[in-house]
Amino acid sequence: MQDSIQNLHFRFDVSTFRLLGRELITDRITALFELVKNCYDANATEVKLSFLAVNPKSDEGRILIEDNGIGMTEKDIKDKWMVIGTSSKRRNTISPAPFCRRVVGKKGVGRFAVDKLGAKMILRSKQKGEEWWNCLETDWSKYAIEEEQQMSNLEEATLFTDFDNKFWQEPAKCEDHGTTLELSILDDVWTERDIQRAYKELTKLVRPNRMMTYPFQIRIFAPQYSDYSSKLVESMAFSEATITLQLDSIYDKQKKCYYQEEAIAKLNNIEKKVVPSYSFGPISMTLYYYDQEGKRRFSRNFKEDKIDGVKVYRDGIIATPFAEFDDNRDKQKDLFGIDKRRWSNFFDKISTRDVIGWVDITADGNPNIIDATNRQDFVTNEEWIELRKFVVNQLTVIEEVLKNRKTKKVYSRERKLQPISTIDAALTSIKELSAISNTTSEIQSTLNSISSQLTTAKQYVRDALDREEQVESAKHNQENLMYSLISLQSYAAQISHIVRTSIGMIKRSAEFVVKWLPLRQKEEKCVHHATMVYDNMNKLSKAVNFMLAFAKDGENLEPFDVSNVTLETMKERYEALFKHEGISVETIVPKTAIMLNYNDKVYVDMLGCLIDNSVKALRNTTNKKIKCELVASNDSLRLFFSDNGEGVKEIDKEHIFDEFYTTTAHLGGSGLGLFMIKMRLQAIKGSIELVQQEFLPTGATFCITIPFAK
Amino acid sequence: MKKIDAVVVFIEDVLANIEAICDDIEDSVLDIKQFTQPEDGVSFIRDNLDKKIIVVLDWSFASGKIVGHIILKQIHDLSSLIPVIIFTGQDLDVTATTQMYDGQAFYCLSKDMSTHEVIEIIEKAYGAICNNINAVIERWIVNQPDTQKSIPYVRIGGKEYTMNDVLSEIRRNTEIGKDVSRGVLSMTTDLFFKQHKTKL
Repeated sequence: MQDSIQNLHFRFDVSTFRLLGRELITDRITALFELVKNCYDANATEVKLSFLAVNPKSDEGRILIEDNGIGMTEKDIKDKWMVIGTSSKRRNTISPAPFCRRVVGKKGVGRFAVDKLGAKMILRSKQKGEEWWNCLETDWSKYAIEEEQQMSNLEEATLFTDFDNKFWQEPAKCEDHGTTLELSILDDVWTERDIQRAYKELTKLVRPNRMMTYPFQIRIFAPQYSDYSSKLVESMAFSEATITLQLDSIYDKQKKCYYQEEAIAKLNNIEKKVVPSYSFGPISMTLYYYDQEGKRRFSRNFKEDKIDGVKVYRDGIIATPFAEFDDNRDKQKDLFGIDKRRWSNFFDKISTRDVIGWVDITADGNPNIIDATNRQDFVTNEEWIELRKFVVNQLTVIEEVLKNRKTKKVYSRERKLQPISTIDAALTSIKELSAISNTTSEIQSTLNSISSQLTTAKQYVRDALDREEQVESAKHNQENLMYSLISLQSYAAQISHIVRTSIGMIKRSAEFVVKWLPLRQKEEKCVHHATMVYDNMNKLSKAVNFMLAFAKDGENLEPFDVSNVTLETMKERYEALFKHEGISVETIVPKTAIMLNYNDKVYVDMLGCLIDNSVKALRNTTNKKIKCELVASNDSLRLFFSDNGEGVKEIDKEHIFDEFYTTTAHLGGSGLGLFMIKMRLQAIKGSIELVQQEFLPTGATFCITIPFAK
Repeated sequence: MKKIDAVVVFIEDVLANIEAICDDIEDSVLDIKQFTQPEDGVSFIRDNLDKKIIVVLDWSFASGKIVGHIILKQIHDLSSLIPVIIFTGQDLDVTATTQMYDGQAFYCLSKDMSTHEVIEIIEKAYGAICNNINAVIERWIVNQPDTQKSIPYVRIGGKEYTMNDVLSEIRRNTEIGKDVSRGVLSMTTDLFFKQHKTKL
């Protein structure tokens, strides 16, 4: 036995498809991102993402990812696509010439992301010059069925690598190239908000076209949503800019001449004015200015790109390649002399490292902006000098606005401290005078007395400033208190209305029974009114409980991570209910903690009420879904809560937040849940509204907004 | 409850609020109409001006959405002779509200009132319809043959008026309408007393 040595090989269980797909990539937006990254690595300049019949879920649902990249040969499909963890991208970290992009996908498993999106995939790919499209069909549902069967019978286990994936070829035009992934049997509904999320994520992948010799454009086509009929994904680089300035030229047809837009500073903002065209001719210009935070975000997302000044494009093609030539940025040419201005007032001047910009000229419109014969610069003529001046002037306007913004912050504080500075200056002068040796003791004594009085005065001024700050703070608190009182008054009025109305109903129903029952008339109605008394007493009881709970809303105010609490509520607290009702739940929260200074129990209560409403609305729906998405912005937190239930009828829309308004009285609805959420949110300057439903054809989406400020 | 020969129109978004009242008075009034949409209520009144109508109007429909005064004005514009009883859960200034639109609001009832109290006010409103001289003239004109209503009938201040014109002036409570009422009242008083004068 000891002599018989065998070689053993690893094998892959059928569940590998799941481990590499949905369990490795947990979020479908990330899955989509992974697949689009592959298009980038394949030297595509255009990618079209199509979402067809994706809401509601149907057999016709398709996601198409089409690119015009280099495509794959039959050999590529067999040796790269079909090989897990292929090392081709690790070996070649740069995409094929002439694009030479730094590849972004490296693990060789991104293609399994398709499993997260749909159970079936057809891949069509070809390289330029080939006569055939190479087609491959992978049906993950077969793998899933096998996996399910193996749970009960392990005898004849088919391995992951044993499955057949259909391969065939289809005729093609010789010049075509690229890859198309067609995904069907989709896992999820894609609502407009999902596509919005995908769009936002993809903005991180797209770079400003002008920064790349070979652009990479993504278009989203989702005919079910009007905003996505063919939406070009704009680079995140632009949305992250601190200040954006876009200037154009305008042609006056009547006068047959051009006018030029230029920037002017209006305190903290930039405005545009129109002036007669300059000697250099009509131009368009785009400037993106980044502050420190903007630069940090830019470099985090676009590691290869740099914020590197203003360039000139003639008829869409860069006219200043010489300026780009040197890898050492310090040796690059500063065409407009932007950095030279920084010898004075260094900190107030924008450098080429703060701004990305393009000046668009045309051969016809700007004939006097001429390349120098040595191709190292433009010919220094009057027009070029004026264009340089124009560009610098626009930067100066941005600088002025930035200065105004900065000054505004420090101005009020400086102004308040001015009297103290004046006194300090006087005290210094007195000290200097005292130091002069030949002053008489009488003068010395007077100076001391003045000095002492000034010191006292300084203390008075300081006290007065402190008091002023206290008054301002008290005023601010008072405003908040006033708001709270108004909110309380309006709350008290609403509650009185509820109580009075309920008491009235109870009183009249009881009166009806008292009047007609002894007469043995209207007996059926007597029973009905007795029931009404009981129901209304219950409503009143709920209203009273709510009043008590509301009174405690202000207690236990402490910061809590709302992302965590939302996940916990949706995934743990209500898990059993969702399971019992057969509801599939999707919860999307920001990856980072979002701290909210509020009562976490109240927040959970509000979520509970929305869940309760959704469960009722979903009672007659077959494919039940609830989606809960948290979106945080700088000043507020928004919670989108959707279901694909029966929805809210048009006639009910304006009443659903009213007290006692319910369409589910027969299911125990009291008409107080949404009213209570509204009241609670109003008390913290928040709101709840019914917004455009996410799921089609029926459903409802509520948006809760909670401000961070208070 | 006394028998009332009038249609009681309830304009109220939560019908449960008036259910007990309607169930109680259903056999004592000519008809009951309930409208959850105010515009439907106003439309019904417009189409049935020839009937005796009493309106019970909810003042605030949804919380924060007060439409009562708008509806009150719309009814007033149709006819100032229709008594409107305001039914509200809010704290309204009763006097100020009832004086709106030439006293169009007949009464302000709180929503915690008993059916008994509501019935009392409906009966008073009915009494007003029956005893108000303008309402008497209105009914007299309404009951004339249609052919007679559109031909010139009276001359007032040098201008000719058809019965329909007079009806409109009275319903809108204009100076002409008031003149007609005063004239009819004084002439009726004169005729009545002359007719019943005791022979000495």
